[in-house]
Amino acid sequence: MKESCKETRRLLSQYVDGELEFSLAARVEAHLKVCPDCRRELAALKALGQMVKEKDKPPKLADEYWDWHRSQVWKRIKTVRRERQDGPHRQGFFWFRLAAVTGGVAVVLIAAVAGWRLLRVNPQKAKAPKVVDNLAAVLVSEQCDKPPEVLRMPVLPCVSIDDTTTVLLRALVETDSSVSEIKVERSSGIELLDSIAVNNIQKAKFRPGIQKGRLVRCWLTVPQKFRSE
Amino acid sequence: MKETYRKASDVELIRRVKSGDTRAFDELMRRYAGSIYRLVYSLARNHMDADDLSQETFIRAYRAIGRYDEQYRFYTWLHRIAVNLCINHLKRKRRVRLVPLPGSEIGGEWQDIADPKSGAEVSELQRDLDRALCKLPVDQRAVIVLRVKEEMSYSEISDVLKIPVGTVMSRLSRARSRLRRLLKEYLPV
Repeated sequence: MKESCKETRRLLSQYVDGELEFSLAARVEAHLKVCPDCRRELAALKALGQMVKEKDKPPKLADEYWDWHRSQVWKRIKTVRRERQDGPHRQGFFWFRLAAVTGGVAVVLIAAVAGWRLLRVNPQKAKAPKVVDNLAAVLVSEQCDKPPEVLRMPVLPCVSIDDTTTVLLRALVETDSSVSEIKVERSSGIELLDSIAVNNIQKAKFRPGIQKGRLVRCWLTVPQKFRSE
Repeated sequence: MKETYRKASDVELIRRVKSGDTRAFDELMRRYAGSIYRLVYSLARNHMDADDLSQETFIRAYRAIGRYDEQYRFYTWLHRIAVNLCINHLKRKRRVRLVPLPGSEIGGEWQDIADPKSGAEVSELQRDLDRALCKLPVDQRAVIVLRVKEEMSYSEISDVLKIPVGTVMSRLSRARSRLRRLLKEYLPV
C-alpha cells in the first residue's frame, strides 16, 4: 500500500464522521479522486455505518411490556424507600451506632486504667527482664533470685557402656541467653562422653538468671546423663 | 387529567416531579422508556440486561431529579445516566461470562407477536451484525453506538465517557476496522 493510501485510511473514519479538520479533509478528498481502492474503502465504511444504524434493532416489544416496565420501576423505587424507612438505616441505626461507639470507648478506657494500675502496683515486675547488667559480678545459680533455666535440651545419644554415666557440667549463661563458657565439673572418665556432653550443652537453650529484677550472668550446673544401650 | 400530563412539556413535568407528583414521572417514563431501552440494548446486546438497566436508569433519575439542571434536555441527562450505568455494568460483567438461554436474547414473553420482523424473522444479516457487535470490546462498542446510532459528536462522546477526543477517534477507527473485517461479505469489496 502506498504511503498516501496509508495516511488516507488512517483518517477515513474521521472523514466519514465529518470530524476531520478542513486542510486534512481536503487532502483526503484529493487522494480519493485519484485512488479507486480508497474510494471503495470509503464506500465500505459508509455502508457499515448505514448497516449499524438501520439493521441493528432491538426486539420489538408488546405494549403491555412498557406498562409492566413502568410498574417495575415504581415497585423498585418503593422497595428501596421502605428499606430506608424501616431498616436500620434511619431509626435504629443511629442508636445502634452510638451504642457501639460508646461501648468501644468504654472498653479502651477500662483497659488503659487497668494497665496503669497494674504497672503502679508492681512496677519492678513489669520492667524487670528488660534491664541488662553485663558488668555485674558473675553469680552462681544458688545466689540468684531466679536462677537460669534450661528451656530446651537435646536428647543425648545412647552409648554402649555398662552402666548409666553422668557428666556434671557448669555452663555460664549470659544475659542474652547464650552460653559463653562450659566447664566439666565431674568427668565421666571417658573423654568422648565428656565432649558429647559439652556439645549437647552448646545446642541447648537457656533463660538467663535474674537478680534483684535485673538479668545477670550466672553459672548453672547441668548434669548430662548417658544411658546404656 | 391524563390528557394534561400528555400535553405538558418535559420541564413542566419535572417541576411537578420535584414537588412530589409521581404521575408526572410516570409520564416521563412513558415518553422515554423506549429510547432508553433501545440505547441500553445496543450497548448490552441482550433483553435481560436492557430491561434491568433501563429500569435502573429511571430509578436513578427519580432519585437524582432534585439535581437535574433545566438548561439541559431531559433526554440528554437520562441518556448520560443510562450510558454510564451500562458501561460500568458491562465492565463488571466482563469478568463473569453469562451464557444466554435460548430465546432470552429476544425479549422472551414480551416479544410483540404482531410484528413480523421480530423473533424468528430476524435476517441472516441482522444476526451476523449482532454477533459482530457482540464481539467488539465494550469500549469500542460504546463509541460506535454513540456515534453511529445516537449521532453524537466526538466531543459529546468524550464528555459522556470521560475520555480524551483522541481516544474517541482511535477507538472508533479500531471498531470500524474490526466490524469491516467481521462483516466483509455484506460490504463492497
